[in-house]
Amino acid sequence: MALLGWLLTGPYQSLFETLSGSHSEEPEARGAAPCLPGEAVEIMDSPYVSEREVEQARFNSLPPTSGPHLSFTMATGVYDHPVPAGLTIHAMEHGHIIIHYADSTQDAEIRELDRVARRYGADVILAPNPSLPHGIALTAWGRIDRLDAFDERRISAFVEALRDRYYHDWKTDRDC
Amino acid sequence: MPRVRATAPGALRNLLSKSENRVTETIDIRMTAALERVVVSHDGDAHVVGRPDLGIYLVVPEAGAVFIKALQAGESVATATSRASEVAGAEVDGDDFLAGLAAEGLWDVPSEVETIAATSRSGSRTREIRWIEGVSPAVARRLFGPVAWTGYALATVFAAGLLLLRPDLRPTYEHLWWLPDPVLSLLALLPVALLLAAGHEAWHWLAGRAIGVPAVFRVSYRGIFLAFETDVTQVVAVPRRRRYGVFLAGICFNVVVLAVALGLRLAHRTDLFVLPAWLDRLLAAVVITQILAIVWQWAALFLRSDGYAVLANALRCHDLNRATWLTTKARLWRVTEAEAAEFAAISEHDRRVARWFGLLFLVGLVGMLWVLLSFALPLSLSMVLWVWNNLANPSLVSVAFWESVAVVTIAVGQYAVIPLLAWREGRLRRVGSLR
Repeated sequence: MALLGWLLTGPYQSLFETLSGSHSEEPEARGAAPCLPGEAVEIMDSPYVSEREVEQARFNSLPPTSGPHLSFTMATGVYDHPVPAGLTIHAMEHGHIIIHYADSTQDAEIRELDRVARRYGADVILAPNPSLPHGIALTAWGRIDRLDAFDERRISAFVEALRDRYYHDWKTDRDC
Repeated sequence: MPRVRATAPGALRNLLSKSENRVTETIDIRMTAALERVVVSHDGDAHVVGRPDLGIYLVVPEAGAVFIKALQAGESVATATSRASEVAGAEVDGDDFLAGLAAEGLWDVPSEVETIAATSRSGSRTREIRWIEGVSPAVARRLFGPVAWTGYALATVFAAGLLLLRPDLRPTYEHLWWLPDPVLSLLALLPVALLLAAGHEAWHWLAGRAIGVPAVFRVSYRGIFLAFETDVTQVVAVPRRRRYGVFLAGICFNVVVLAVALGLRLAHRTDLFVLPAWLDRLLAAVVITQILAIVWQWAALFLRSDGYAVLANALRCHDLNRATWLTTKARLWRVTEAEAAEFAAISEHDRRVARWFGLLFLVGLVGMLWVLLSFALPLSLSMVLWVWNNLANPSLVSVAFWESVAVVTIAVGQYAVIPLLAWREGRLRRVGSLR
């Protein structure tokens, strides 16, 4: 019983957190973190909701970086079809990075994005996003970066700086 | 691992001592068919006679084993008794020995009568050994020869090395949702998992075939779940050192599949070649299934897993699982009179090992706890919440809503209807409406 108690309050504390999702934070709570790639986005209240409620939700960024989402998440990797926001948000809640690309993205760029996504296979989800007007968007929990074209250095910097920064709670006390 | 009962030290020896000057010339025809089903083997100083078809194995003195083998060779009871007496160094009573084996359950007399009747009708008295046709023992031996075992060892090192050196390839429960739909993810993974489970059991069967041990491969149902099992109880008929292959074969299959899956994923990550994206994600899910399968075999020792079979074989035990259960129960609670008698009948060697083997049960439980907390609980909690949310905020045009309805229906059917049916059946039996 002691072992179980230690496990549930220590390494497996996130099991409790998976019951409720995440909560909103004031913009000042985390700060703009100018040392990090991209820009900060206010973190919305992010409960687990139904599929219908996710479809009706309004997010504070495009693509979203937090907000109401589904209770199950998704495996990292490359997806050839658009992935619902309810899943990408939960993936970011687990510290993963989403690379979104617009429908107008050239095949050659998609292949390069695919190569980068495979290199960071445990951290990144790559998927087309029809709601993006153009270019590429990188999202992490409470963070976004927008690119007009493929830039491997910038994408790698975003992934390496922001992966695992959050997992149902912040994993670092300060970013900068 | 077949359970081998050690007879009380005096029981069969008493039966082997001469009590009456009476020797039956021929054995009852009912025994003939039963004798054909008996396997005799020796295990160090111990001799084991058993009925694989009944799952009964008994440790007997050497004279008893000699007696049975003589009967199986077609000798009369008198001749077999004479042979046993030579080995025992004293006159023995063969009839009483046969009666003793019957008392231990080795002859299932009513069924032998039925069998005799059936074989009389068919005119056949051959022993039924169910060999699965199609794979010759020579082919099976190639899968368990020195080259093959080297391959299994290399696969183990390769898989362990990758998991150690490449944290990005380590599984998380997220990998089970390899498609954007959670129900579809699990449904599409199910046939793959079943195929791999069948492969695990088939490898046990092949290993048995490779060393000439008759094995039976079975498919059955546990509720709505398909289950595969391989009966290799006749492995007690071969020396212990030759049994390891049969016990380890299933794990070897899992390790090879794991190594291949990890290797393909690594090649995909490092641009050696590119897999279809869905296949890479499916392989990640396969990695989980194989790791859990391997962990299970070493954690579920108390459920007589493959790992238990290997350890019990190495420790030269016959009934270690039962000895450990009773030892642990006696320490934590108390045992009944019947359990105490059963424990006393277990060999001193098994009881001695059981004193510390319970620690391994505990370690196994910790392993199962890891599986529960790392995979089963997060997966289950997420699914329950998803179903709950979809039913609490229904959308009749939503696939997710109807999937949630289906999940609840199956769960109710699996876990609630069966106990209800059992209660109803019990009630009908009590009022005499059901026989």
